[in-house]
Amino acid sequence: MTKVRWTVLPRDLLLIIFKKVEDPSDIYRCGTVCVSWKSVATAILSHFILLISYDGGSGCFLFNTKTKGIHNITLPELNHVQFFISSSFGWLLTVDKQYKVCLLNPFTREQIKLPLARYWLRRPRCFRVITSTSPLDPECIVLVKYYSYNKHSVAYCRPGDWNWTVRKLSNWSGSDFIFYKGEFYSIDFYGKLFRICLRRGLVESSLPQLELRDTDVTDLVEVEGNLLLVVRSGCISGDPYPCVVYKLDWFEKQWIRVRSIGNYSILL
Amino acid sequence: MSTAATADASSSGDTTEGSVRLLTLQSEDGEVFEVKETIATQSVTIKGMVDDDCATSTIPVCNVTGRTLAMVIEWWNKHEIGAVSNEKELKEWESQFDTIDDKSDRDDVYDLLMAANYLNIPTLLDCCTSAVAEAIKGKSTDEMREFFDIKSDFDEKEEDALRKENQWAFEN
Repeated sequence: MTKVRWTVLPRDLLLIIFKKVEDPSDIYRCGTVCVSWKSVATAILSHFILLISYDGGSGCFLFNTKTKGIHNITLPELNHVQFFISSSFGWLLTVDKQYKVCLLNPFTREQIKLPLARYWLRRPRCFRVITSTSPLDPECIVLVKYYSYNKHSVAYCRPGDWNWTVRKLSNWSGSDFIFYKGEFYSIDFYGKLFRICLRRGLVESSLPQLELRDTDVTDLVEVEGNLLLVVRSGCISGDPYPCVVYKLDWFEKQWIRVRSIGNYSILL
Repeated sequence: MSTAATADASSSGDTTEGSVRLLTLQSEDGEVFEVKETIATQSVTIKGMVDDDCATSTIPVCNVTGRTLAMVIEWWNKHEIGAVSNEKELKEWESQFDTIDDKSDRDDVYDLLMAANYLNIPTLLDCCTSAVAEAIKGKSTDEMREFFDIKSDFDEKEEDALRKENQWAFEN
């Protein structure tokens, strides 16, 4: 009999096996068995998208983009927080009752402390969080967009900073944010693209503005290095939202309507 | 077990039985098997050798023992078109492979999995990977390590962190 060594199973075999395991918490546990299993389990778990319930519960779910199944994950850390929201790269941002802010990785349950947010963070209205890179990167910038005192603002910091830096976004009514080619960008409800300069605030782009209706919703997505703008027409009850997708032509400085996004799917 | 006692591996394996060509396979531990080409070509690897005319002498099947190769050949025989009259009967026969009840089952599935991978036999690969996946489901970290005889190779610090941060993974 050959020597049975489950740790040295070829990576592609482990990949097939773990995919058949299906349940992400089982796959996650496989990743705690040994180093080689961990590397394969981590690769598979990237098929899952983190979904969060906004109803104040400790709801945190994983959506399997392959099977369309939804799996609940339990995070005891969320029992003590005031609220939490999804950030980039699969992390969560949590804020407790003393306004202590943390980034939490729901898989490894690693936590990264961020500066206190006592002075600017109140109830999470129109709240968005994105990071420039994985929070484990010391150069990572965490950008929080929020709304208070009738003004939109952004606050940013790096892990390890003592304070957040706050910038007011005057005359802005934005919908989505993205970190693209080394800069933060934002799109407003009228389809105008802004670059968020961390020193000076908003810088309006010279892109021709799209003609959007009041009820349209705009989202920014990066696909294969391209910046895409997804415009969803306002709700027509019962019907799916009709979507129009534009691609940014970086050199010609214009939005080009695209008919197909190839083999990709976008979850908004 | 269909063992042919051809000790001389250098003799030509290109024999025929009626109009069906026979291939000679030799396991890692020197056991020799004569198998109909039509059956052995369920292995994509062997089919490639046949197509390239490289299957004229004894085919060494490295990393696969005679015991495992005999099981593989049994699998091929059952999966030959027309060998089993109905799908239900085949599934029933296959079910002996798709659950892992004890450590001896587990070792058989491991050997078959490695053989199916080396010889590239899609049906067997599918069956064995499903069996392992079923065995993993619902097990805690420690149960999996015990079941698969895996020693943690995380360094002490990492293991400690895993224990602390992911108690749910260990306790299930």
